[in-house]
Amino acid sequence: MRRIVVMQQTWRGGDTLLRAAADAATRMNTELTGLFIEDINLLNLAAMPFARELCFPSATRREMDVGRLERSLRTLAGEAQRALEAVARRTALRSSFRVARGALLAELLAAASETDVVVAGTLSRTSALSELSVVCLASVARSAVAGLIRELAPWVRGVITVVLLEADADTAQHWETEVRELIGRDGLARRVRVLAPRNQQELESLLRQPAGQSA
Amino acid sequence: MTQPESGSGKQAAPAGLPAERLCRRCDVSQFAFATTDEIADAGYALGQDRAVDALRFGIGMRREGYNLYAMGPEGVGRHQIVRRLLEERAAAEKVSDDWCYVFNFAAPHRPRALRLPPGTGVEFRRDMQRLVEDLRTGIPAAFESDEYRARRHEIESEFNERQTHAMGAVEESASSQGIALLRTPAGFGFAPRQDDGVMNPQEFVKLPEQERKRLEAAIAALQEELEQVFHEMPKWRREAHRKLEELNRQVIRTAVNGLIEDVRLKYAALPEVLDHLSAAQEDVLDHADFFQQAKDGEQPTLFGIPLPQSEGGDSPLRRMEVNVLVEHAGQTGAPVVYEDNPTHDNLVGRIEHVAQLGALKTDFTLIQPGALHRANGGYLILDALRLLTQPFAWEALKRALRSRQINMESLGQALSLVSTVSLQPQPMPLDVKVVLIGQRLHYYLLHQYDPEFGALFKVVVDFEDDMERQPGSDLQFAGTVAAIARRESLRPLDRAAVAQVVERASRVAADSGKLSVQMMGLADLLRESDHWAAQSGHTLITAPDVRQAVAGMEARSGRVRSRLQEEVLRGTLLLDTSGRRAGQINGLSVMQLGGYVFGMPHRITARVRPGSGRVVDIEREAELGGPLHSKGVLILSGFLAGRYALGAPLSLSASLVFEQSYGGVEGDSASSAELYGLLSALADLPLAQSLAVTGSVNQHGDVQAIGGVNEKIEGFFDLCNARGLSGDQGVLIPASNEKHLMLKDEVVEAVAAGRFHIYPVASIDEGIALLTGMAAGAPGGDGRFPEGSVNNMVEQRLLKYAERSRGRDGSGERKANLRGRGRGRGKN
Repeated sequence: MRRIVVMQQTWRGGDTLLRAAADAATRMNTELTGLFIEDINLLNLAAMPFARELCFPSATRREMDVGRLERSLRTLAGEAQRALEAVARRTALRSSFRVARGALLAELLAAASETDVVVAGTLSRTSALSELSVVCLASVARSAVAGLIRELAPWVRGVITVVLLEADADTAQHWETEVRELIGRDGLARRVRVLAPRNQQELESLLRQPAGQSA
Repeated sequence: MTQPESGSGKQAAPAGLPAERLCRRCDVSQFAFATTDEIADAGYALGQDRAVDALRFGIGMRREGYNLYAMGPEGVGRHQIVRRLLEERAAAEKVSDDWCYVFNFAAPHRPRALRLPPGTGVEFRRDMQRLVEDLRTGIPAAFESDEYRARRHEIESEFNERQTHAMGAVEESASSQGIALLRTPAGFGFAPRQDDGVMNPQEFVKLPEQERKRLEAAIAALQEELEQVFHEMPKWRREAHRKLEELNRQVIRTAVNGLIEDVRLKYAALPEVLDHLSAAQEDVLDHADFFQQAKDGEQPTLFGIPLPQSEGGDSPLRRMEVNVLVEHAGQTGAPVVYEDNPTHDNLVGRIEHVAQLGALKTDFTLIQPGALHRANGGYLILDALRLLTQPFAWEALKRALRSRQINMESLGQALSLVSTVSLQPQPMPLDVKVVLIGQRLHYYLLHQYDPEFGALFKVVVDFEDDMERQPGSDLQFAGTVAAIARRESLRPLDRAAVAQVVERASRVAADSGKLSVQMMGLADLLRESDHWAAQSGHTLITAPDVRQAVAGMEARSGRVRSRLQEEVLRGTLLLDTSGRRAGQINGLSVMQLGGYVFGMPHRITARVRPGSGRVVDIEREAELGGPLHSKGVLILSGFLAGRYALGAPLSLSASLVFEQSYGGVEGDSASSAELYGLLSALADLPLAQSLAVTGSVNQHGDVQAIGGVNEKIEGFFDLCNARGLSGDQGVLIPASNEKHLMLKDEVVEAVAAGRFHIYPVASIDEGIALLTGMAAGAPGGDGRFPEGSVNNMVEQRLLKYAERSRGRDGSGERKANLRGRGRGRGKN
């Protein structure tokens, strides 16, 4: 595997995910790239005359504007970059960071096509990852994905989802069977599933952090 | 003693006391034993019947306020006697209960006191420690069970589903209206859809107005709906949390109940313990998650630095501990405690603190007991002076005795100097009898100035300084000597040595009819006698060894005495021991330096002249005389005024002084000597310098008893002996002091050989006759003293002073008038 891209949307439990990805990259001797996506949909929303943000968990409403959103996104991107650099320094990892602006699916596709996998995850109560997603094209070697899953597994308490881009359900089914076989350890294999979202919406729902945290 | 004949000028030397009356010997033949090995120990409270009866009464009096104050001089064995009697009594009493402090779950800052049967405290603590260990493993095991995992997952899933469903419903509603739900940095937002994404603003503007308004209204409604969901989420979370808590309680209840039940059965007869166990049980159930974390939880950190694992007072595990404050496992009888450092904290206990990250923390396990705790149910012995000199210790003791409970409070809290939150342990009921051991002075001061003292210490135990020396008491004393010798592993004493010790005891008591019961001094004498016996290679302590010990004690302490005598012999200090001189007499005083007392003669001089009737005490004028000495001198004025020239005012001006005395004079034992000096000066009759005088005098001229008579006699004897005894030297002592005579062998031998004399004197008249060799003179029927008697000569002098005084004041004016009338008549 040449490179692992880790999706650094900080409100998606980024710190643990970053450490998990860095650990895996170190072991697999690959480069780690941090990816921060400035969702174009958000920017479009902010430009709307009626744009409102409903804050969570305070439930306060506030107006959105593009300037403030862009500042927020830049701040978040800066934090993500600094986090990546800190992890890389500690582990002597080859790393890079980039910011992309566009639709989530399109950018993930672009990232997945440039690299092998994109890793994204969600937080659990105890700062371990409750779930983790490995986003890749169906053309990526299953063995490489299985190897990555094995490296990431200790960091994840729940399900590990392989999100296949530009694939159908049958492909996903085959992938699941083969990846589980490759993984080999029964306990871990049971936690792996492979899905192929049909559209942006399904992709987003797969990658979205649940509102609030679990009890 | 014969009185000189009236009018005669000379008097033969009167006889003094025979030698056998100068020291009451201990008859060795009364002792049937050869050595002290053959006699049994005497009781440990020799001569202390009054004190022992008082102790027994006080100990037996089980009423409030009947604490004891044992008073007497140091060295009579107060501590030993008190302790032995208490221990005898305590041995027959029941063992006191154990006391523990435990966590108070209802009020954490007020630890609970638990009373347990004797020996149970440590066992209870052990049982609780085992319980905690069992809980440490049992509770996490319950959390590891499949049942718990499944049920917890159900609760979590329910909550997650609820949230997801609610969000999903809003998202679906939005989607059905062509609106997308987006995640923003701080929350969520709604935007109109277009294809796979969100419509951009330019396209939105191009929409028909109606469509725009529809979308805006729909978005507004969706925001309301999502906001409602957000409002509900905390409630769902709380509900889930409560379900989880209840699940935790249910899951561990069985494990906890089972483990605690064993302990409950063991302590079923102790309702307070059962209460505590019930509260502990509920606490464990309430804090089940702590036990869960204890096994696999994260270690707390501060700025990334792991915090130490020490469990503070709030830890559920630490709350289960038991602080055994006082335990009596293996003991028989009630406790007898002696606290030799009775500070406030040592009496009522203290609450310790530990430093943690710059702050001081405490909990119930850091409560430490005081002497009152340890003596609870029994007896507490304290030194009165040490207690009174410790800040606030006396007040704390009184407070505890008054309230009959031990209230633990630091001095800072008691004085309101500290207002930080601290522990307030539940007061412990107090049932103790306190024995204070101290000096008489402190007892009387406390009674005078502390109104609470008399109410709290109703029993006074007054230790004697000495005991009667009567038939049988010498043998009793021998038993005490034997007991001390055995206890100290000394050589046994032969009976001559015992007799010597008995005589020494009389000497220490300063009374031939008494024996000193200063046990400390007696023990010292025996130890030192044993030393000298060892030096001499004796297997027994003999009479010479005892004498050596006494001589050794005096020699070691006698530097000042020797130096003073040396200065007298060298003539630096002027003192005659022969010849005669008017207005000068040898007085006697005692000096006490440390524990050594010795007698020293002093020259006393008197000067007289006409005056206003004032006898000047130069010592007092120079502020070297104490009040008792001044009183003695003032009495002289009363004597003179009451005896001589009653029809005329006392027109005398006299001055008295202790020559070459620069260190202060107190006491009236020299007042008779001073009076002799005055009378001698008035009558212009010389006094024998070969005699020394001691004794106080009253206004009637009776010579009264004084203290230190043996030392005073020996002080003058030593000086005369050093110069060479002339055969006419001696000491005038009050007759009432004869019974106090226990003179050393040297003096007795000199008296027996007629080379020294001791004259007992009952009145000034007797004394003046001895000192002047002339009769004092008794008043006749006309009230006048016989011609040529000392009293007559004194009176004549005083009358002359009175005449002179009248001539200067009243008759001076009459003579002037007479002169004037004479001149007038002449001219006419």
